[in-house]
Amino acid sequence: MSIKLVRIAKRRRNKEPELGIYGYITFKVIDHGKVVMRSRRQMHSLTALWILEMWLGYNGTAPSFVAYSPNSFVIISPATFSWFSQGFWIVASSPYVGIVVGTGQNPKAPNTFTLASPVTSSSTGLTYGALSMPSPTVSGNTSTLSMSRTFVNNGSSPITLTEAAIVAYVSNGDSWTVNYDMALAYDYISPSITLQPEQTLTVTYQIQVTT
Amino acid sequence: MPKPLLSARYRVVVRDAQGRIKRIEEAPSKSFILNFLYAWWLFLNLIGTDSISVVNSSGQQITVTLGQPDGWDYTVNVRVSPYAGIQVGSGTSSPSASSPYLESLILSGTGSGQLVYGTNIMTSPLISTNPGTMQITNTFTNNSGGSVTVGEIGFAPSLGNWQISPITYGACLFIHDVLSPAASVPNGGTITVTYTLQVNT
Repeated sequence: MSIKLVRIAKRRRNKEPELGIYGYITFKVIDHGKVVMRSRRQMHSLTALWILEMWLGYNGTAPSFVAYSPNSFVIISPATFSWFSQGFWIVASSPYVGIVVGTGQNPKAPNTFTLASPVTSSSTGLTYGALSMPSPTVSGNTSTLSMSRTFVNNGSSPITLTEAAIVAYVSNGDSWTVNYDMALAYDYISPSITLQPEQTLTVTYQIQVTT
Repeated sequence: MPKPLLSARYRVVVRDAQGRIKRIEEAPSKSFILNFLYAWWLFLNLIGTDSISVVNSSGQQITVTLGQPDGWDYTVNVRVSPYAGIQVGSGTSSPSASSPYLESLILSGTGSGQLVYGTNIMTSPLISTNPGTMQITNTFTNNSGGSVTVGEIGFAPSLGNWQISPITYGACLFIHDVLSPAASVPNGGTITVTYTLQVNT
């Protein structure tokens, strides 16, 4: 037997970044028109929804997983999404899709599809703004998908945020009978961000691929 | 050093007509392309209509117009068979971020320079482990009468605008890798390509 091992690529740990998709989250806090905090952090956790989306078409029975609709947690049974010609979007009237924030922390795991303690939009508390998501851009070998949302503390008390997610509205698109909100990405806000009354927080996600 | 949010690896195995392994190559995938983000953006941003470049079931380059309430139809082995799933090509140029196609798609068949596409096999995804993974494999058989050179490979799940008439489906290239050197598949031999996608948390 003749085996020609042409290449087994081994990238040196701690010297070269691994190839793939990277993401960043930028937090900007504005107080009466003045930027009082700006922080750009690495995203750490896409969820396995990216993988499920690519697998569930006609490829058998899905595993069980947890979603919420929008804040009551449910177990989605394997059979529910066995036909998963998905509806799948985040630009919608509901504030609970797109970028959402919370005050808890769930485990960092591929199957963490929810915030631990989502903060719901309220005109007398944290008010969610519209989601902005321009079409992806390409610069040289780097392509970027960005989305952002602004949150205003219209309450009378500080709000401390410790988690953020990109949540998508997922449906079994063939019949549109099963609809859930599920996180595409879940990250801790660490260190946490405390939003004082009348302050505005803008959260911007950037997901980048390199060719 | 941070890990990527999503990464991919490929494995290529070439066998001769007797089933003997002639070449094995395993490497990190180098090139997710703009199409990947664009497809996700389209489906996340289901307002109005927009279009995306894909390959149809004849291997032709076409444009699919999508609009609300379309969504993923992430299938392989149907609708855009055989070109949804894993594709192979004869090009050798470096992938371009903005190019949505393999440089030179090898068509499925037994003619000169062609390979018979097999059926995509997808393993059940692991989503409760870290990293979460998914794997897809296809084997291409050379019944052309001569050797066939594979210089590029890609991962292209199908998508469709099943809510818009006429319904159109296409294989949408997400990942494009160049084999260096190109792989020569002998007559009667096979090339098996496996992509493993991995979500790191």
